[in-house]
Amino acid sequence: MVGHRARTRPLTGEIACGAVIWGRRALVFNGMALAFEAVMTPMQAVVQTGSELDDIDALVRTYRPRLLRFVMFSIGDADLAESITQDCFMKAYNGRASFRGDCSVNTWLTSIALNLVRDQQRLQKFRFWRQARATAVDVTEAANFLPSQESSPERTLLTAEKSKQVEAALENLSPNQKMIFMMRFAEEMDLAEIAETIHMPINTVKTHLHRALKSVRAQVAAAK
Amino acid sequence: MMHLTEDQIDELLMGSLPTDEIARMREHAAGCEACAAKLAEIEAPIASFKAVTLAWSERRSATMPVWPKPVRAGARWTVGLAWGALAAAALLAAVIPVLRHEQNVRVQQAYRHAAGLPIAGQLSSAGATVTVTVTSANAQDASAGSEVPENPQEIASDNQMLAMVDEELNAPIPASGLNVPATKSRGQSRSTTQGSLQN
Repeated sequence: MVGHRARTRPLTGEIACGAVIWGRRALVFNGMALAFEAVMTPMQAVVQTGSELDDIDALVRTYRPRLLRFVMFSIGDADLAESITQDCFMKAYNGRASFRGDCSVNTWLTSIALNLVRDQQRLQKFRFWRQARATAVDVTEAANFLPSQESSPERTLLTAEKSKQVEAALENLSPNQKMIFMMRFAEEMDLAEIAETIHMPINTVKTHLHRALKSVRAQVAAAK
Repeated sequence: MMHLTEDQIDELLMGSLPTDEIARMREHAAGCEACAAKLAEIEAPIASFKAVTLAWSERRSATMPVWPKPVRAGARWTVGLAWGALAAAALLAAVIPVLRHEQNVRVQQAYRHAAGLPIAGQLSSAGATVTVTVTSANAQDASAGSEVPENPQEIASDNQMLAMVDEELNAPIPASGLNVPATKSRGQSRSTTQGSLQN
């Protein structure tokens, strides 16, 4: 049990500082030559990915914002998105042993979230109140928290306006189109990755994405 | 190179083209104002959307608890300890009555051996009277059959005490000795109690 603690604790640092921490530790314990070796070891990345999942705090800090965004704009309800995102991290943490490392952690998390979103959509089909969107995103408010280079009021307003156009356009897409659009343009996944995550042939993904993009482009152009 | 068609722009954004073709189209757009404008018409809103929604979700995520808290090593240790304590308590709870029963039996045996008194206590609920039968027997006979060596002095004092109890029980209760309210029904019930005390 003590071993378990000793094993998980350094990982926080490992993720945060990577090889530097390893290098320093090796310097302390084993001397200069080993330190150099530790810094140079290319295996570090592989080790990190596997053990990254053990540190739930770091995992949440690194991936939750993007995952929350993906779920939010796939499902269209902030509160629901929040609980789905939390479920997703719990599932990921409990099932971390099954993560084989053949895709990125982000892709893996996205695929878990995607299944949860689909379950939710199936549920919502039978709910008459699904149209009542209680907790939408207030884009104008969100735009105020943009990084400083966007901070001039006119720029912020313009950015918020453009963002709203895309958001509104997303409303009119089918659930699959929405998810694929988000994966491509928010998560910046390529078509092959999306196909693998969503378990669809790549050509089907391409068709959905093309339709989604055409629709969004048309609506954004019309909003001008 | 010709101007970019709508489909080409879509393909470019979808990332479904080989990298060299993408590079060629980007190169064209860089030098062609019309195509650059067309591309920006959709790329700018998407970029804004990305930035704004990420700002929103980062803020929202920061207010959420790191909820699926894993069971810490320490907590697991505590849980183990708790289970251990529970198991020990259950064991004790199971064992104590057995031990106590054994002890009771031993005490009873000791008394019987000591006094040679088969003590029968009977509670008859129908008559609401307590019948206590105390039969005096030969203590020496009982202790002869006893396997446990006992102190004769102790036995003697116990016998003496029991004899005194016997005497007290058999003594007639003086009618005026007890402060009983002198109602008729009470007096009757008292007399029945008295009568049922047998030697």
